[in-house]
Amino acid sequence: MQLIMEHLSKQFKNKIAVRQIDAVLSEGIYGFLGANGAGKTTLLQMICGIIEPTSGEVKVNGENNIQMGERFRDMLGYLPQEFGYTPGFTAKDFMLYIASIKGLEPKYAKRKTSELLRLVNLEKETNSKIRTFSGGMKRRLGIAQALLNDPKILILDEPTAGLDPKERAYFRNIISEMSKDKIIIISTHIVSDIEYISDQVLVMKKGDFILQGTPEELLDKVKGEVWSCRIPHKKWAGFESRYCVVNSHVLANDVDARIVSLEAPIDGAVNVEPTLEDLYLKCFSDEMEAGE
Amino acid sequence: MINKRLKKELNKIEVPMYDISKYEETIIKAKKVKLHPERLRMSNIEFFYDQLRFIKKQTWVLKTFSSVLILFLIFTEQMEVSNWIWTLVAIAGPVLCLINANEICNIFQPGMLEIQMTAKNSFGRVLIVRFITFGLIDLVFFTVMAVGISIYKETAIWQVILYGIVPYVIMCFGCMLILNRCREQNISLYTETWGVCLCCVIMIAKITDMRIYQTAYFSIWLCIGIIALIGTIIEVRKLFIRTGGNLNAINYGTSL
Repeated sequence: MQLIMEHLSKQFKNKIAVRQIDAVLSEGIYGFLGANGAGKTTLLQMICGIIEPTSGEVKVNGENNIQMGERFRDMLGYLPQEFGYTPGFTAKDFMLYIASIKGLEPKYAKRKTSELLRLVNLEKETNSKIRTFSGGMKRRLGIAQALLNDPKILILDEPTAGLDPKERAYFRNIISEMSKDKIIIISTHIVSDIEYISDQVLVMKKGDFILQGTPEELLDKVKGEVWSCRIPHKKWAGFESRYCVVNSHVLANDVDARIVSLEAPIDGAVNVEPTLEDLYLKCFSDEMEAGE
Repeated sequence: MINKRLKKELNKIEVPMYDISKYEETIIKAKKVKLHPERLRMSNIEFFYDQLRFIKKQTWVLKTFSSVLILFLIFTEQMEVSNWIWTLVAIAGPVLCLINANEICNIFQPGMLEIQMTAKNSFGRVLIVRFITFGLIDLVFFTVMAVGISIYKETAIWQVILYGIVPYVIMCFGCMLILNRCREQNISLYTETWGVCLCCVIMIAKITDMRIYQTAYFSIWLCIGIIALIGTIIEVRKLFIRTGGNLNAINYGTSL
């Protein structure tokens, strides 16, 4: 199966949210990485058929997603960035409702609901009202509803927002286990969510993919550019504005810092193994500066 | 030797006569076996009935209670036709429509709309189920009311239909305008406000003795009804386009 984006663009009045994106995705896990406002959600909504592209199209095995209609939606599982629910619904009611609109047979829907609520550790809350749930529990319920129809294309927009580290790790394992024969797209600005489970990482900036490749390929782009060093307090003031600082830890006499730079930022700096977070910060350091 | 014994043993087994009906029965039973329930999907009719169970019990109770109460007040009231009966008939529509609107607002929750728009059965279908169900129930109510009043109060049936249906359609038109133009989290409040306002207008017309139920006003009622009906049809169409996917603008949860 192939999900193809052809010259996909979306413009809202004078703001271009997504510009001329071309990509071919086949089975595997894809991490869409980008800062807030990079156009990730707009792109995902176009893939899902929620919004119409200004130009270009999305194809599944050569067929336009909108023209496929029901057939396309039947193979789709989607978790939106903002997850909503009908007031008064319990977790079970909500799951059965979504199963119904996904067209699942009632008997199977019941079985699948129990199975998925167990999978996301909500089996004890089956009959609890969703309004009593914490943010993390709501998110887990959102993930469960996206899996109801055993989707061939699973699109998760900021799936780990509100989850604690343990839940994040658990979520990564679930996604990793179910990735066989599926196209899974995870949109996030949290690098650790996709660093170890993605087959491909697509870095999005200002509506365009600026980098694309396996995590290893992307890490190669910053190889030899990440430094660990100790900087005396006196010199530290200028460092933050001059360099892309990934981490800093203020100690008694100096600052222990991790810096992305083409050259050693200071004598004695040690070259260290890069991570995707280093790459992310390098890509978006200009936006951070502009924000500051 | 072994073959002979085997033949002998085999001859002991009684083979039943070939029965074509049993063969057909096996095929029918085999067809019913669901080897892959995850791949099976409901038909449109199954979907319709399945959706009914998601309409809140509270909505059914409220609709039944309101309908019975209005009919009870109309039929047991010893008032003259010229008095409060027409006001009650006119208020019935907005009240029933308000209950419907509240139920429909429940599925217009922020963030839920997007999930529904990406499901196999489009959001339009979910709405159609509710429109048909509530429409049929309200039609039965209006029919009972119209026939009842025309028999017991000796009035023309079309009068009851006109005074009952026109406020109902006006209420529908307002609710559709709200659904199409307002943000999801506010629509419930707005539709309630609209319903209460419409009822108040009808009540005020009665209290201030505006004789809007006189024969001279029939054409005005009819015109307003037709305009509201056309408006409702246009707004329903817009709603289906809006909720059927491919929006030109994002409603909620965007990065923009």
